[in-house]
Amino acid sequence: MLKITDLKVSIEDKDILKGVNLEVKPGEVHAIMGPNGSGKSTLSNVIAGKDGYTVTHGDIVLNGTSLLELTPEERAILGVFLSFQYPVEIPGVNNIYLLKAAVNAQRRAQGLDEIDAFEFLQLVKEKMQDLKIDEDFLYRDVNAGFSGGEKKRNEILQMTLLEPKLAILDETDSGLDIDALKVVAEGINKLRSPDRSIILVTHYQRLLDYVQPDFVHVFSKGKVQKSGDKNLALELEQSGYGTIETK
Amino acid sequence: MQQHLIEQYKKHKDTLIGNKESWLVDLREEALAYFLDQGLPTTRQENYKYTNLNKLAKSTYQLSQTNNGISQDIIDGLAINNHNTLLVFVNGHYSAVHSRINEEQNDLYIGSLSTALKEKNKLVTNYLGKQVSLENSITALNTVLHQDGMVISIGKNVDVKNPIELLFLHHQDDQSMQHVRNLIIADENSRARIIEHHYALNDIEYLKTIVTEVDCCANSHLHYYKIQKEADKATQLSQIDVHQHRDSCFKYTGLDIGGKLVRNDINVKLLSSNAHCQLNGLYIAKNKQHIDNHTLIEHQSPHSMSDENFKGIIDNKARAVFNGSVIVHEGAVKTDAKQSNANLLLSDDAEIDTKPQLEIYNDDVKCAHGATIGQLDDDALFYLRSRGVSEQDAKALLTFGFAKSLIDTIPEAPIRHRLIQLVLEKLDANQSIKEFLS
Repeated sequence: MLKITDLKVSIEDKDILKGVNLEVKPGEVHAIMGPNGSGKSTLSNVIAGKDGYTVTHGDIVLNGTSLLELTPEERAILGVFLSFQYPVEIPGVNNIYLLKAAVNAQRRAQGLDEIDAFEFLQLVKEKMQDLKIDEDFLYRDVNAGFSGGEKKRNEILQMTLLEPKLAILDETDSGLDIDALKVVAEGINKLRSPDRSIILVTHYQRLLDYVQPDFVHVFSKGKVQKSGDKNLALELEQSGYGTIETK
Repeated sequence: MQQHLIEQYKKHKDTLIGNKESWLVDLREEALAYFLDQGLPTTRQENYKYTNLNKLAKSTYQLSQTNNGISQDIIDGLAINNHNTLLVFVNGHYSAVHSRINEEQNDLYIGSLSTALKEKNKLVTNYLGKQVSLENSITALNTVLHQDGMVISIGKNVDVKNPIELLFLHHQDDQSMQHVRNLIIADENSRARIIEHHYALNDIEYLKTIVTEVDCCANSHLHYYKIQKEADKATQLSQIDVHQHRDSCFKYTGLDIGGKLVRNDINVKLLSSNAHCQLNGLYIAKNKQHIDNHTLIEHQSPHSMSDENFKGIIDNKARAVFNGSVIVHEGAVKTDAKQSNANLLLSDDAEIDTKPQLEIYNDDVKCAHGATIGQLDDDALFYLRSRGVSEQDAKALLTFGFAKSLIDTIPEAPIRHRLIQLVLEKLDANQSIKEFLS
């Protein structure tokens, strides 16, 4: 599915990622943990294709296609989905417009007709119920005036509708109260499937109580310092990141 | 331009409307004398600092001729609603065959100025030229040569059900000029909505001036729309002068997307207490367009309110100007004035000159004003693109989103939809985006 080899990335001549290697197979859930400033969000943004980063070395390959030369929308159509740490507020653009635009962009790329408006609305409402989102939410501007929890649930809703091949959830748990966290975690668990890969980027182990990862990678100083199974997360919770950084 | 104006006036004075009315001939000639003395404004004048009329001053446009070759299908396609009363003007001349009066009520008069001079002579004599100062070159030019226009007189307690549409079309007649003169009198406790819209059927060069005089009597409610999509090479200079009396409410919604050089002057006098005006404007300038909005609101009595909101989108090498003056005169206590101008610049070469001005000669007032200039938000663009929306569509969505709050203030759906359609066309939004938003 996803293969990252010796990826080096800088922002304005400052090296952020210093040789990242990561392989995620279909059906796997990988957790990337690490202290603030370790480069976790940079990795997420670079996979999704955000401007402002220079890839100086290495490659990111999704199902045999290198992503590096592709625009963010081309990557999205190939099946990359990034759930933002801070979902952007977009005044004047209705949530339903965005959802429909996103779904139809994918359908067009697959040579399908645009989705029937009525059918789409039914589908969205069904998914919204699962995520305990109010219906009026559809007709509000994207993320504008949403609470932290609503923003994150909106991200999961988009992900559910887009059915990505590779989902990257950047700090999806941060700023969530315990009830919202459960709803979001359930949403993620529902998306686990043998042909989908999920990367959870998180600072805390809390989310991993609800979404059990197959692998845990500890990120520090722009590199994967240590990899293991879900027990590594528990170990970290007790000993902190310090023990790994000093190695 | 002075010499050219004399020639044009001499050539046409025997065929201009009202040429047998001595008061009107006097008015035209008084205006001519003023224009000969002053000429067009120059950039040395504060009000025209950012809008250069030099090229226009050298022009030799001929007074426009009407054109009978417009099919009814075109008219029907441009009219917003078939139920509405519709007055059609072609190249500034009233076209009776294309017009229809669908609303017949006692004390409601809707007609062309040329007809009104015959049918409502006293009304026209009493009002024409009374709301505007003739000591203004554009008004003077318009007064000398005005060919026609519309007169709407809404009697006491009359509620005009459907909007009244005025469709101004330009068809052929390259290198011409037309001068439109409108008069609106809303009597006590009357209500009406008026839509003035302008379209060109060919890409040619012409000048259009419009002077509209509005008198809003006590407790009258008037919503005036002005939608402008002139030809790319055209110049439109428009002036609206509104007098508002006690408890009256005047609402203006403007959309400017066409024209090479466009100037709107909107002057409102809140003469008596509790008068309320709301001015909303949206302008979108691209390529080398120049769109200038000048507003002047004068609070002259207590408890009057004004609320002004102009938004602009400027791309390529286009330039826009916003100059909004609010004057709170002595004695106008408890004035409540709000003004805002927000601009979105889509290119490095686009320019906006914005100047909100507030003059207060009084205590106990509430006034707020502000101007903002911004660009598209990169994070929002990335967010949309990461969901698979193309860069072009993402930009169109965000740009439309900027304009949307203003369009949303339009209560009537058919008018709102026309504005949405025109804005999306102007923004080159592709079909899928249009479907989402309509």
